[in-house]
Amino acid sequence: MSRQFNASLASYNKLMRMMDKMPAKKPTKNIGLLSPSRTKNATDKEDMSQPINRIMKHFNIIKDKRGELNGS
Amino acid sequence: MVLEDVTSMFDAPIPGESLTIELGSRPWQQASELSTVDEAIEYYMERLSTDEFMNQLMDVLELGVPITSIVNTMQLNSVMEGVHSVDVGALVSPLLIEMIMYMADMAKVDYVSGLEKPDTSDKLAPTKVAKMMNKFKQEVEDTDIEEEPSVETQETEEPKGLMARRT
Repeated sequence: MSRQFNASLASYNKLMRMMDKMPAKKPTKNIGLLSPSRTKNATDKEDMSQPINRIMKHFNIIKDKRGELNGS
Repeated sequence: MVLEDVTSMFDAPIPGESLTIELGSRPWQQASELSTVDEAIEYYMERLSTDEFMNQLMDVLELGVPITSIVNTMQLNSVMEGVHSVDVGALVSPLLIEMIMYMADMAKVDYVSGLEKPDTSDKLAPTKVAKMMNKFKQEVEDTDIEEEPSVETQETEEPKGLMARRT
């Protein structure tokens, strides 16, 4: 059974690969008074109309909670 | 190796099997009940949060069933029942795996995630060893063992008389 194709396992691995490829969020430098509080980079915002992004958001929340529970 | 080949040969649909029923008579051939990922998440979270399901799930996990197999069965079953489509099932699966792992961690249950890389070494699986042992036992029981003729040992009697020589 374990040697058969598992669609859930494949999609889990695919999601993990996608998350690894995503650039890490860098903190914005707010040094000056007139510097913008948020970057106006359109790519920084995730398109929540895409179901995969919504899944990733939920996934990250549960993963963080699990990390907190296991102390990592 | 031989056993795997035999099982995989029979673990497949018969050619033309899907054409034996009328098109649209199966639930998965109809429009699914839940069309979006969010609805599917809500559906699964409701099911996972029930005490009955939780207890059964922990029992299964303690038996050593991988989480990926459980999730795959769950989502395939929902597809078969026409709850959601195949693509929604594929999208929801990683979330379910993570959620069940979280629940098992909370309940402090030792579980097999199924995410580990398969062991490619020559180490035999315990189930295979057990099968081979059973086969060997059966073969041993079936073979007639001929009894070897008992060899009579000739014991030399020691002289017991008064005039006997001592060795």
